[in-house]
Formats: sequence, C-alpha cells, structure tokens
Amino acid sequence: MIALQSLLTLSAVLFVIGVCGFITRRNVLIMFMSVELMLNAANLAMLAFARHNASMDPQVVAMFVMALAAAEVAVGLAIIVAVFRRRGTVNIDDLRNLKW
Amino acid sequence: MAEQIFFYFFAALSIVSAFLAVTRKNPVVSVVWLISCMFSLAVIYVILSAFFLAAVQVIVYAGAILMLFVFVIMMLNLKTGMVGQLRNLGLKFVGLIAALLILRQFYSAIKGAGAMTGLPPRAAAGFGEAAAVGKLLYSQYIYPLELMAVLLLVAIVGALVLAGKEQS
Repeated sequence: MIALQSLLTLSAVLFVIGVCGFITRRNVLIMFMSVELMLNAANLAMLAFARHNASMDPQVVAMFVMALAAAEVAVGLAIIVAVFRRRGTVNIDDLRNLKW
Repeated sequence: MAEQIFFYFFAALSIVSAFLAVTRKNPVVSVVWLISCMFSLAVIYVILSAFFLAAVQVIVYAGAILMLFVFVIMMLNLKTGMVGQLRNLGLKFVGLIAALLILRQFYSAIKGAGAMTGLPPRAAAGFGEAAAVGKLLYSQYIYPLELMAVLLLVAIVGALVLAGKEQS
C-alpha cells in the first residue's frame, strides 16, 4: 500500500527541484523546463488527492493544467525565439533592459 | 507489493532525472532527462489509476511540449560558449536557501495532515478512464473546457505572431 504522504513528498521534492532550477539557472530554456517541472509536481499532488478521496474532479483540473502548460510553452518559446533573433542570446543576464 | 516496488522505483527515477534535467549544461541533454522524468510520472499516474491522464501526459508532455523544446533548441543553434552557465555562487546559495525554506514549509504541511494514511486499496470501476473523465469534462466542466479551447487558439495565434516572419 502506498501512503498518501509519500506521494505528497515526491511532489514536494519535484517542486523544490523546479524552484531551485528556476533560481539558479541562467538559460531561459532551462528556466522554462523548471516551470514545467513545477506544474507536473502540482499535477501529481492533485492526482494523489483524487485517488485518495475517490473523486474525479482533480483529474479534470490536472487535464486543464496540462492544456495550460501547452499554451504557455507555445507562447513562451515563441517569445524566446523572437528575443534570440533580435539579441542573439538566451542568457537571462543579458536581457535586462526592463530591469531597473 | 508489486505496486509499491514500481512506485518507489519510478519515484526515485523521476527525482534523479528531474535533478539531472536542471543541472546539465547542455539544453538538449536537459530535455532528454526531462522526458525521462515525464515518463516516470506517467507510470505513477497509472499506479494512481489515472489512466487517461497518464496517456495525456505521454502524448502532450513527452510527445508535444518537449518536442517543441527540442525544435526550438535546434532552431536557435546555440554556439558552444553560450550554453554554459555563469559560475554564480551567490545565486546558487540563494537557490539553496529558497529550496530549504520551501521544503520546510512542505514538510510541516505534510506532517500536520496527520498520521500516514494509505490510499484506498481499490479504485471504483472505471475510475480515471477516458469515458469517466470525458463525461465529466463535457457535462460539469463544459465552460472551462470551451475557455481552454479559446486559450489554446489564442496561444497558437500568439506564437505565430511572435515567432513568425520577421518584419523589418
């Protein structure tokens, strides 16, 4: 039997790895991948609770999260491509025009 | 018992591949590790009897989203000097502190929820299968579903506008 707590711990560890990657990496693509990792960790927690409470609604919400992630990745990668065309870099430290 | 062995194996695999995905220098290697992480999560979804979501995970995440990443990395054609990261120790320290703080919060939240509770041994028949999820999607969640369709359309148009032909 799998404990609910071990599923939640797995989800928490994956989320924290995502946060850590988002803060420490300077490559926009890898920062994006960390965001995907965090979304997946949230989905995992949602599905664990769905199984635990024998309710299907969190599964539908997880499905919406996946659709949202697809939309986010499409727009985000398009922005990265546009920025790379103009500036020739994907390093976040070189893109600080808006930072004041 | 078999369920437990599968769960712990794929949980460990997902954590290891997630860690490798965020630490590798080369984005292509990162994407491959992330695909491995998504596949192990799909196996865990099957263990949680979310069969439809497991299929969607493999098709949408491993199939579509990460392929998009691979295509973009290919398109950007990064030079070797550009994929490396700066040796920024301060930033790593900040990341570590943030990770520890968040982990601490998660720990007290999980601990505070009470004693270890096992999942119910069997899910109801049809739980998490495509028919059940579809019925719910097209009855109770019909408006969010339609909104999501509009969002995806907007995302497609937005991506085309942003990354389409360069106008100068």
